Amino acid sequence: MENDDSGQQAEIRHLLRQQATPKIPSDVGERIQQALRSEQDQRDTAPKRRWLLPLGAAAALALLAGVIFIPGGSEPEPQPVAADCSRPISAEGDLSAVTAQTGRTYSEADFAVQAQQLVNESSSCPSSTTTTTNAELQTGGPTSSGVTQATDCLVAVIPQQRVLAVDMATYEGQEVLVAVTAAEPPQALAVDCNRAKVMVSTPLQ
Amino acid sequence: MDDFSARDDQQLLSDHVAGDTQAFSELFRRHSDRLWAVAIRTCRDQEDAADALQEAMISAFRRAESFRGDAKVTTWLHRIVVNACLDRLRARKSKPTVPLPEAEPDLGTRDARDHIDEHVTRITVLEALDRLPEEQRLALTLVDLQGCSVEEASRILNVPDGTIKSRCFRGRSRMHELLRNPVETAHVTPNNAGENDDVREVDDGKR
Repeated sequence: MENDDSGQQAEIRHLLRQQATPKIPSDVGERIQQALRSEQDQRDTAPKRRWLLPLGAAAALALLAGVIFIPGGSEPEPQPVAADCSRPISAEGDLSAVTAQTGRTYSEADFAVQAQQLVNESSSCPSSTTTTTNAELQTGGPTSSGVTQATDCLVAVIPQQRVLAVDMATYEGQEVLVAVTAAEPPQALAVDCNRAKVMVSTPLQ
Repeated sequence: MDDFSARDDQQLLSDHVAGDTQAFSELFRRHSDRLWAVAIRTCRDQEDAADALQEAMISAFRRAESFRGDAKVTTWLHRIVVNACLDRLRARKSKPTVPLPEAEPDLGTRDARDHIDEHVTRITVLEALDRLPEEQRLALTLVDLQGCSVEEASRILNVPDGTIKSRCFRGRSRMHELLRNPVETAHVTPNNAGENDDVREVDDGKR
């Protein structure tokens, strides 16, 4: 009886193991990949909205003499670096006065030089259009939502920093925010907002 | 182009949690056939299987942070898929079973006798599997069709190893009976097979 059972068990096991694994129908696979992409899009948006929470206090950001100041601790008085570009920002922390969208590709080798160039362009701007580049003109300049997202990202990743200039750009092939902070000496940062972390930090010469 | 082959499943899941926008899609692409096999054998209906698999993947996508790493990622994914399927089975328990498309023999090839015999045998094996009570079918799907170890199946279904062995044993015995008498197969359904076919949800850590 046991032998019979054992033989039956082996026979069925063998038959089942012969069955090929069915391939997922391509339309089903694509449908699920599409659903995952939609989910990813929602996830990309959600954290940025959460970053607004620290901005709930109206005084979370202050623009002093053209320098954006992201508070959170005892900071030295911000330096008047970009007075010519200064303009009021909203209580929500609008960085539009110092945010560019140059479409520039920053490289590891020239990062400090390119960041310095960004600061130079920003500090010499007499109006809100000064930082506009060809790439920016093509896209209509930094959108208000883009600036809001940049602000949210920087508040989350580098709080307690004063920001001289921000560029929505690319660093080593990855979309980043390049931010120059008013440290001594000023620091150029490439910020990966998707991972909420600083990829690289370099002092300006 | 990212080289995903260098990253194992756990790394992909960690990367997804850390914000890698492609990691989870790759994880799904890598295991989609196996997950589909579990879904289709559990749900026994293409539409339900597709819906359940999608629901499961979205759930896994959202809950990736809760993965504790004490089991393989595939075990965790299988568990979520099984639960999604059981939820659907419970919802449509009163509805009639729709046979899988592959259960329809090709009558136009009757003259190719060997081929037909092979085809009929294959169909009958899967049909017989479909006729088993839920618990036995799930256990055999994981262990004999998917090649999971008993331990892995026990983790997916959240029951002791001995229970998996017992369900597999009873399931194979039942299948042997059904395959010896294919006519009977056509009249036996999971609801009158004389076994407890309660749809039980697997604890996947949600609670």
